[in-house]
Amino acid sequence: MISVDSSFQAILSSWSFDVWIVAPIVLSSLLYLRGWSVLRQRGAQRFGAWQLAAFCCGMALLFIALLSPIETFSALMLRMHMVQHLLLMFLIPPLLWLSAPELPLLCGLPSGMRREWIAPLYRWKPIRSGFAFLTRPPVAWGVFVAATWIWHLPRFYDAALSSGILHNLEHACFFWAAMLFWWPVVQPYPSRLKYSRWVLLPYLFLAAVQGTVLSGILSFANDVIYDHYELLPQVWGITAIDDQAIAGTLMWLFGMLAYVIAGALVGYKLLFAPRSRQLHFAVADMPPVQSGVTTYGPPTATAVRPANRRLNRAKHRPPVRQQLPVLSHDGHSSYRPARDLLNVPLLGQFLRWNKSRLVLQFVMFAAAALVIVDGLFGSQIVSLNLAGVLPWIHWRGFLVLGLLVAGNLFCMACPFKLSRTLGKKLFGGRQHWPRLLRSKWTAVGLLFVFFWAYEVFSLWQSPWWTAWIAVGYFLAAFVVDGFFRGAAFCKYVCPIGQFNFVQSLVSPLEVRVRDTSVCEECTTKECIRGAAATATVAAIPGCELHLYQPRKSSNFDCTFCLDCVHSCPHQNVGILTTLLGRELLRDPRRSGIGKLGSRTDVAALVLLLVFAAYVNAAGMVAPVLDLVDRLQAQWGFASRVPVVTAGYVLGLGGVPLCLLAVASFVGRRWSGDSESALRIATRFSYMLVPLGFSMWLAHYSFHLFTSSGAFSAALRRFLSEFGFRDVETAAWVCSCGLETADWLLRMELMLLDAGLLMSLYVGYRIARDRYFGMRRALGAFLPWAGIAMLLFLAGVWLVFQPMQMRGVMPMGM
Amino acid sequence: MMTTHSSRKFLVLGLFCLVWLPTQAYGDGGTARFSGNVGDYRMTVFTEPTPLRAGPVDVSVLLQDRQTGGFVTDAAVTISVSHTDRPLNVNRVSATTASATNKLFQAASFEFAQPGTWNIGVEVRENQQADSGEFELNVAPRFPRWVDFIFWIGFPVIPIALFGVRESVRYRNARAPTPTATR
Repeated sequence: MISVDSSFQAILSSWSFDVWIVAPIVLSSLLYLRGWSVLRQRGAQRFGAWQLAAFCCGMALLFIALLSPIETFSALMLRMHMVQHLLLMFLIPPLLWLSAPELPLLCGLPSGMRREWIAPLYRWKPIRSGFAFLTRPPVAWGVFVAATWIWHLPRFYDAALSSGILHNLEHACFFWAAMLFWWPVVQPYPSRLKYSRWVLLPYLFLAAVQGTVLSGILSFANDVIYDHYELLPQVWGITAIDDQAIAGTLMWLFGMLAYVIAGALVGYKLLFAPRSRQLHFAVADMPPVQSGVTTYGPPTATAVRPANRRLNRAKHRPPVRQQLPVLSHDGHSSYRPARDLLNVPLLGQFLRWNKSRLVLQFVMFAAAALVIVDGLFGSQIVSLNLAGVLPWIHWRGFLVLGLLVAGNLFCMACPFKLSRTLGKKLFGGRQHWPRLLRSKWTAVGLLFVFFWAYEVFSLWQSPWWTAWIAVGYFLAAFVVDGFFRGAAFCKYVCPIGQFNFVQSLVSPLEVRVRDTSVCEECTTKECIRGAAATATVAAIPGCELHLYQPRKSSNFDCTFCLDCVHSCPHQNVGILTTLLGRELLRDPRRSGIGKLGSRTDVAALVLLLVFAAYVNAAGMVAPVLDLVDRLQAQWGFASRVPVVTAGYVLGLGGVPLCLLAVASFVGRRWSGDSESALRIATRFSYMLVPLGFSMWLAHYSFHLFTSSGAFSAALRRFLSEFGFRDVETAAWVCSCGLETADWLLRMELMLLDAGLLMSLYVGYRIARDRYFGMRRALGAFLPWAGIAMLLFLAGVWLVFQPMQMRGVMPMGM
Repeated sequence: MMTTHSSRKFLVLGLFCLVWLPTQAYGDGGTARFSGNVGDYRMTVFTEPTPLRAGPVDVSVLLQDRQTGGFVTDAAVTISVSHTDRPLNVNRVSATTASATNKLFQAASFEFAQPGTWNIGVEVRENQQADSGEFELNVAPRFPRWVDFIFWIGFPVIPIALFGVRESVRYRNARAPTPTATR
């Protein structure tokens, strides 16, 4: 048995942790603190230190109520559970209202969010009317009493103790009902008085009466009301019935205390305090508003209402279009200049160095060389071969992660550039790329063939074939750029490059000019023509993909080679931050590309990559693999090639075309658009880029996080086999895939959520920009939103399926 | 403005850190499944979640001295679980206070792989004396895994609804006449 001291120590250390409780508390506190300090800086002296203290105390008590040993022991003791509820209902809400949280929380939000999201909702009449209705004393009182009594009914109380979800719901009901109840009593700034405060005396009295009745039932009941506590053992010798009586007593005691103190303060103010105009004086201190809407401001004579006016009979309506100044354009611009990666210490200096790219390319070349050597000459066990592991697990994973956090980093470090350069040196590279092939159709075909071949020939399972693919890539880059001028391989052929170009449309970094006015005065245009050699510096080529910087828009066709950065004599080109997906919203004429809305080949490339994200993942999940085997047996084929081919033709051809046709025709009809369906489909296709990227990201990062350890095993085997060093053989037995953790599944779902939301937003903006009138815009948008939803649901289904752990052995083998 | 930007960074950093905080899943009670005298002890066994379904389950044990009712946390508690269809396939785990949120309990986590009736055995060892108790639990079939992630799947509905309301309000405001009077 443990001593009393030890048991108290054990009790005090019984804290729980729930991120869904901690996060809102911390977030609210940070927002309040930020808003409070902003208001203080603007001279709003009304917000004193005591209000900040009240809010922090309220949040601290909320934390204690929900996560301290009070919560832990609430399931063991009714009296402890009662303490928790009393905190939620009688102490925390008044403290929070005393802190006048409305303005600080609004000011604490980012200004863009406040103006674009909160302000419209704040002005929305149903919300304002709804809140006004709920905070009327009779309604607030009714909600509070109903919540208290309903949740104290045995059926609901026991249910809440049996279910975590119901328990949280119970606490939420108590808390928010109490917030409504205490609002009229505290009347937090900047609310206006809409009724006589004499109402609050019977309001509090009647609340005390009902509280007394309920606590009396608990205290004087002959039986244990709640079955949950009846089944529990005695704690500290207190029986269940005594525990219940103590809980009832606590409820009465603290409830009465709260009502009496509140009633006394209200009564004191009514009887003895001077008639207050502090509300209006405080409003007069608030910063001026520049917008034309009406605001809270210095009152006119007609706006002052006599204190003994009649009780609100629902005839009072809030003034038309009143808003808080903080919700209007207050002159504080939210514009912030884009950040330039080239200004980051060390990293910026490295990128400005004109050999930086070469260094990165050599690193990647070394990795590619290892892959080729091991793939051709090493052990052909895929999970222990660098060619089986590095390209299909690590490289793909880091590729998409790099696109997410930065941009087209792989093209910057592309090892095939070295063979391109060699080819140009040997053969000159003077021919023009054939006009007929100056589109993305070649790349579309190559990508289709690559995805098909990957699945049909199980390229991931053969280090030897993987190595030959890498060799083929070097050869192709060598030949194409050896004969053709510019970066023809990158622009028209390279499948990896096309993948990067499309996905980097949602990357946060972009190579672009810093100040367009500098470009207007530039006559030499080195960014595209190149910079001639000088005595100290070698010649720097201009953009090989013919992207003229002042008219370049987005990362499409940009390989992040930084030739424009190095060649610009005004140092006017940088790697600047950009809003994710911004380039999908607009369709300007882009240098070297034209208008994306007119490029059917680019749209086809986009659609192929979007649907390939799902088809590629589907080809690895158990239900689809079973289906392929069943169809193969059913149709009597000797191999899976016909079935897989049919699947790819359907998945990357038939299904996308059908969906697009339906969406285009329906959208055209609903919007009354006279343009061709092809044109409409071309423009709207780009809205699917975020969703496709999110699926690639979810899929490849899944393999990366579950199988990254395979690199260690493969490397050890390689070093051992090629005699570089002695390695412990036992250390590389396991090249295993980990089980799917819950956090990974959550991450995948979050990525899909983000992709869906961004796609829907892009589609909506495209429709709004294209069509006049909300109805037409929605008519055009909704069919495409349907496609986005279908893809999202397909992605959700895929992440929940058992997935083939390619390149590694499953755990336990 | 500097303070605004600094506090904005602080806000973003704080939020970012919160994202990576794990959600602890410790045994901390749940529903009482057994309460009775076992040797010199009063033993109460709780399970979570409620209702009990196949999948991960926390089993917590509260030990009290039978005579005095005082808490006992220094006894060695071993929990064993087996399905009635496979009585020989016993999963035996030592319960610890570290695994429990309520430090008066001793808890262990199990994977109830299939629904049906499970045998739960609790053995208590203290001072070379061992006592044990047994009882049965009915475990319902597991929900599909996606049910556990319903919030993450359905989350887009919230911003979509908010955006819809926002756009509707902005659209109406853009079409409504400008107010001419103040109050």
